[in-house]
Amino acid sequence: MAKNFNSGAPAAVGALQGEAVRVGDRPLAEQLPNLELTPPFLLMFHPNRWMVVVIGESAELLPELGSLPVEPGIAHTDEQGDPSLAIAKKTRNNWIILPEAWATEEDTPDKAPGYVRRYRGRRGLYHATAWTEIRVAAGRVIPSCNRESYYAWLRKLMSDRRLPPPDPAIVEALLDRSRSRAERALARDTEGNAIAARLAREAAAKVEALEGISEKQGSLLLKPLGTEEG
Amino acid sequence: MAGEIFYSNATDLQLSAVLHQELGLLLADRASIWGHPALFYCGDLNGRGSTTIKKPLVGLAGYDEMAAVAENASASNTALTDAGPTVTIARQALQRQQSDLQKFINSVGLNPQLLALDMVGAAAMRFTSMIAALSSGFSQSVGSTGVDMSVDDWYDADITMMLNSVALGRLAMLHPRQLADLRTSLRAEAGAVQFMDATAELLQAKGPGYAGSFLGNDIFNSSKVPTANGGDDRAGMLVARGAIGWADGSVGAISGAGGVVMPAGTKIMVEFERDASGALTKIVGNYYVGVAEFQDLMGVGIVTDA
Repeated sequence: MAKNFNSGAPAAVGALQGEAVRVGDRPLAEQLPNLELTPPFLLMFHPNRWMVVVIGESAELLPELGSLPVEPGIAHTDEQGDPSLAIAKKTRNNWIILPEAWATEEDTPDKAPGYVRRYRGRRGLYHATAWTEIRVAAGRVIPSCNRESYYAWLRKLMSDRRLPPPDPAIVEALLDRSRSRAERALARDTEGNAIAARLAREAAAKVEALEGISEKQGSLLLKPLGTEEG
Repeated sequence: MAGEIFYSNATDLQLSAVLHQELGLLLADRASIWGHPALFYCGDLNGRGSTTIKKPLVGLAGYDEMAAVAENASASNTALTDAGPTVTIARQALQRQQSDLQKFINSVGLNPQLLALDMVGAAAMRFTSMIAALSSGFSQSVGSTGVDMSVDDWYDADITMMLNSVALGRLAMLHPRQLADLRTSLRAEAGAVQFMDATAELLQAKGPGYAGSFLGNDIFNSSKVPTANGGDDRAGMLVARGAIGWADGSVGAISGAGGVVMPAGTKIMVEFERDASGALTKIVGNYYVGVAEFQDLMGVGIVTDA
């Protein structure tokens, strides 16, 4: 067995013989997780962005939120960190910026207000949503979403009329795209091709989900010239 | 017999470990998208009078088309459509501090000059992160939450761009998870489509993050692609030239500055600041850069399972 001159730490050779391994002199638990350095952000909604969420036998359309980074130099946030211009530009392009106050203690899994959470990682601060769960397993960082709570918050935003429901025209466009995709997937689904079979199943499920979703809301119709409003 | 000289008992005559003379690099994503032609460079703001530069966009060269006019009728004016997206630069910095003791005893070349050169890589990766952060700001997106990326998502993105009359020569920025899922799904494909892997020459030309091209679009692989939908997904993007713009600023000479290094070919300024009392040398790299979305319909988000 090799001589180990590090006080208190077993040798690497010892690991081959079944002893526990430490990284240097520090136990693994004390190391900061290998998280990326990410900027703080604001969540935002666009009427064009929806995601099909299938839970059991039911499916629904929920907003697929985007994020506006709030950090100097990115997307019009100025050198002092003021995102006013960034917010104004996005709002002009039909985005709705979600204030953090729209996520209350009742909406978040950790019962704290706001939707941005910070974690200390090896490279600095990692910003994530309140519904992001970060697990560290064998030195690997695995983020995932507390879907039940997140989807409940999105539904609440829609039921409270803070976010509008999907326009039927948008739903139709999504359905059209999904049908094309399902047809492509079906054409590839030959016997023995497991990957193609899986893609075909996923595509078909999405089409079925979208066909089942029907929200009758009026679209904004343009009036032709010569009519009262035209 | 007693008195043998073993390695284990001659502790005053040897070291526990010696250093290899070559300093190696820890594993990290060092693939930078700096200078890719799909990202529109607006210029250097040194001496321009503002931290913000506006890119004038005008609806010409076929944006409006002629209309039929009767032989003796007068044509009427067609309004000119214009836009002026802007990008604002801001300071990005990295600082390290090294003691004299550490500097003069080290035997592997870890010195202020090496730390100064490190600033180039740091600035390049910062730029890449800033570009990646724009991916969830496009109003159009393809993909399904919780579902692995597939060739169909690629087609959806490509078709979305085609429907917007966006020309070829686009750039996709995907997370390694997305790229891996795309390659897996490609195995189910048959026919004339081909994924062109990155060759050594292309890597040289396009940078270490270049992963190949598919259907005429370059693919750039980066772990800086952010998460979406609470961490369940990754938000990659497919953009054409004109979707994203960037600008930077060169600092130039500063009176009274300590030792200054400006790595060749970059706008990064690296300064050395001496703390004689503490026997410390501070190495500070500064880079002034900004990125912004210019034309929303020239890009599409690709949101798929993480």
